[in-house]
Amino acid sequence: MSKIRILPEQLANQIAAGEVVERPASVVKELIENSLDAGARHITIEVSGSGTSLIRVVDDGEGMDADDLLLCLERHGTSKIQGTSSLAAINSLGFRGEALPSIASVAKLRITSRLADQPTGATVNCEYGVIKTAHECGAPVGTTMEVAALFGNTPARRKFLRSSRTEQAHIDETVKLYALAYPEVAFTLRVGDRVAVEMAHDMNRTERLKRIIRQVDTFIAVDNNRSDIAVTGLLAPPEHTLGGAGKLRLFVNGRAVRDRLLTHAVYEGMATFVQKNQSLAGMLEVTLPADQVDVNVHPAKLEVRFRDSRTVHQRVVYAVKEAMLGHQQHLRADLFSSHHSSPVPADTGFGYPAQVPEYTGSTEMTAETGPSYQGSRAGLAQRRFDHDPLTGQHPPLAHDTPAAPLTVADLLIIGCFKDLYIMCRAGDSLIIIDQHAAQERLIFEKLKAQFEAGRVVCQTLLFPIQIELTPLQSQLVEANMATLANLGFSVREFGDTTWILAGVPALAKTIEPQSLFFDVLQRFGSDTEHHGTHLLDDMLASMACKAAIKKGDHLSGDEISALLHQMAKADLFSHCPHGRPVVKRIEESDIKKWFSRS
Amino acid sequence: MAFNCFVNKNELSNKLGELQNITNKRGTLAALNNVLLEVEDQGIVMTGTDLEVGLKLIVSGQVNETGTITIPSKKLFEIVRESAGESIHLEEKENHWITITAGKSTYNVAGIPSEEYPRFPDYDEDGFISFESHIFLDLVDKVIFSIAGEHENIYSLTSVLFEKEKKENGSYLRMISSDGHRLSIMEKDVATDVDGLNLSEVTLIPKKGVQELRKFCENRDTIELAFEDKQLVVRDGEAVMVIRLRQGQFPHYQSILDSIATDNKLSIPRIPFLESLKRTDIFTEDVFHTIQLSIEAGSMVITSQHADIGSAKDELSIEYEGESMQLMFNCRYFIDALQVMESEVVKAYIDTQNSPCLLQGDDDPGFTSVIMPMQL
Repeated sequence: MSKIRILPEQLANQIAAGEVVERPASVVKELIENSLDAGARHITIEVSGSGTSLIRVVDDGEGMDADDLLLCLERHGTSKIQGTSSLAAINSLGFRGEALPSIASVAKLRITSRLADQPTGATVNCEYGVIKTAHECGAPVGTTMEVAALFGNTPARRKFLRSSRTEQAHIDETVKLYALAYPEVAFTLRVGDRVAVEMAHDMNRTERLKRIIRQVDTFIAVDNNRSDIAVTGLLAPPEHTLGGAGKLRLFVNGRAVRDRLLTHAVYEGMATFVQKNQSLAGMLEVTLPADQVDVNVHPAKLEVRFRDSRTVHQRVVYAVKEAMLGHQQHLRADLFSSHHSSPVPADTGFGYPAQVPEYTGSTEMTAETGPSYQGSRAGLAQRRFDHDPLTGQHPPLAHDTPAAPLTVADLLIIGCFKDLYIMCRAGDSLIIIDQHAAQERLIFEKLKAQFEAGRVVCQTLLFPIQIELTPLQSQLVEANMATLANLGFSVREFGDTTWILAGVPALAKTIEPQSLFFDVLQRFGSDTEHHGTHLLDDMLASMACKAAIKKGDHLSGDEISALLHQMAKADLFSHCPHGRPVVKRIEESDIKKWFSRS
Repeated sequence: MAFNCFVNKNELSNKLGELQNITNKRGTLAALNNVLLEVEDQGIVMTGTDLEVGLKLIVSGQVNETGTITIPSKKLFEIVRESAGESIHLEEKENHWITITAGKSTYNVAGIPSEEYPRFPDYDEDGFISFESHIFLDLVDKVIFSIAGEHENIYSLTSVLFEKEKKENGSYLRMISSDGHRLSIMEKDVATDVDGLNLSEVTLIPKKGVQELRKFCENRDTIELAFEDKQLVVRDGEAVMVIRLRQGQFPHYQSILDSIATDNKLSIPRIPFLESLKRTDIFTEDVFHTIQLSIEAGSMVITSQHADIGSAKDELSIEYEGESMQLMFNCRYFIDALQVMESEVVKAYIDTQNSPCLLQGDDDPGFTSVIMPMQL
């Protein structure tokens, strides 16, 4: 007799439920997705207990008629895809027709629904996979799903649930994720009698994210849709250290996902602005044509596969970098431009009549253009100032001569505290700048520009190193041969996936050649274990750190003003290359509070 | 047992001086900052170790009572160095206190019992071969500058490779070092038969060991040497140094040497070349030290540029008849090699701008330096 049997449908559904319905939050997720696919404008979720006693999701979507109500409980009953061709380009959140039968098999499920053009609705009751009743009833337009006694028939699964607080937190997070992904849909989550999440129609993404991450009031907006891979998002400025609420939430085509590639890309884009062990917070969504991404790889669709993951990675890195650059402009405008009420007539733009003529023209020295002659001169002048042994003979400090305070655009230099913190006034706020960190970033960007401008000398190795690459890495090396050569690497193929590394950038003398090579490959999107290291950046950063003015170096007023001028002109200035913030703003209102002034 | 002895101040000071580099290592093992004093009938045996190099020295003296203790090496050295008088009196008191008397000064130093001190490595008393110490001085001096820094790659380039070879015309000892960008080889012929030197397949002496070996040789005319499995033992009548050897691989440098074509030869006056390089180095970038060598028949032009400062150019008459070449090098590598050479004229063999440059000199027998070029 044959040993192999086809499982009864109820059992098959329970097995599927094991994958799809992991915990109450998964039920919430599936139901919300159904509501969204039904075009709901307002979704209300009610939960009692840890979600096992009742989950009710009420939407105002298109609804279902009585026949569909029964069909939707059948395994693989779905309205969302029609044939194989639509599987390749899925535009809806669900498509397998698995969720409802799975949920129905492990809970008591009641679905009530009415189509907009029907006078009455219908309701169906199903207990652990068996349909008990189905009849007509009165109902509002849309669908109401009630899941009660979840896992009532699978005590084993029930045992795996955590405390109700934990389960509620998971549900909370699920609702928040969809509230972020669908800013045009209103969400309400009620846990018991408490309203846990309330996101109205008129709240846009920023407002919603602020509601979730309360400590942050300005986000860095990522918005790049210049190709068919659109990257949008809101990231908390990296200096904010946030607790659990402040994690990085990733979305692909409206679907919340966990994806190492995307996470890596965001961090890569933020590199040198994030401190080690610091995590980024905010949200990022990648929108791309449905045929460019496969969502059918994870039972709960938490993971996706990109058809061209390298390009996606590159786009995200680029978009985040661009956003950071934009953020700097915003900060710069905030700090250095003249919209504050100022006692000193501010010069237009940054064209402050320079007392130090060498500084003019250093704006051109940015990452795009590489070092210009003028730029180099500026760098030289700057260094000469730093180590000027005659510091004492410079004009007296600003605070010594209040009659003629030094200003940079709208910044009024008050003085320097402990020979490290430059204190300035900008309108009604007190600005504190870490002189070391500030110059460190400026020098770092200069070094980096020089490095990337292709003036990189290659030191050939006495003992060329044979390296084994994965096929993917080999591909990357082939595709980026010219860039690698520009960076100062000399690599040649040695058959198949074996390569010979015959030369490394002379700059990187102290870095082990192999590690350096993998480190650089990673920038092109290689998935090695070297993820997240930035050997070159680290090295440039430590060079910049050594060259920059230190804590305790006394700066004269002119020197401070020169530093601020350079900051005002630099593309990136807000953090030192190790990710520490450079500028801190204290509002007058805060100071007033300290002294109990109203 | 509480010891009590008198020793000569200068002798104690000199010998403590020899120990200073070994004992004052920052670390977690407090005992390593101390020197072990074993007062025996004929004098004090002093031992210092950083677990990589260990040195044992005898200071003769008049011993009234014997005993052992360890005391902070640097403090003892400072006390002895600063003290007046010819003789130093050391006496152990209760609870490991040591009273040191020198002239009219008295010091009380807290000692640590010797049980906590690492044991000095055992070694075989036989199998030592005697060498004139200048041989090792010369070997070390010619290769020490190109040992790789702390970064380590697949090869153990942070050590010196030590080799022996018996050729038809005699026995040779050889030291080889490389930092991956350049290679230095020094070979000395020795009168002694080297058969007895028990070298393993790859004998690697760490940089610290090489430095200490050099120092040991500096103070002595002849030394005795024995290689054991994991250590090198050097001694003379009153001192023993044990250097732990490194395990690992050293690249096959010989194949590099074999691959260098020696038909394109330049003869360059060493001192003018060296001076010219030092001048040009003023205008190189801090990290790369890149110079361009523009070589034509009879002349060499050395140039350097610094993006912020400016540029330098120097011209040199050389003996060369080949085709013109444009080369790039780290000029420090040349300076290091030329500085340890003695010949009036150095011979440089360079094939193309991508191939290594080999340096030798008529008055530098046994010395070879290989420098890898840079490319833009």
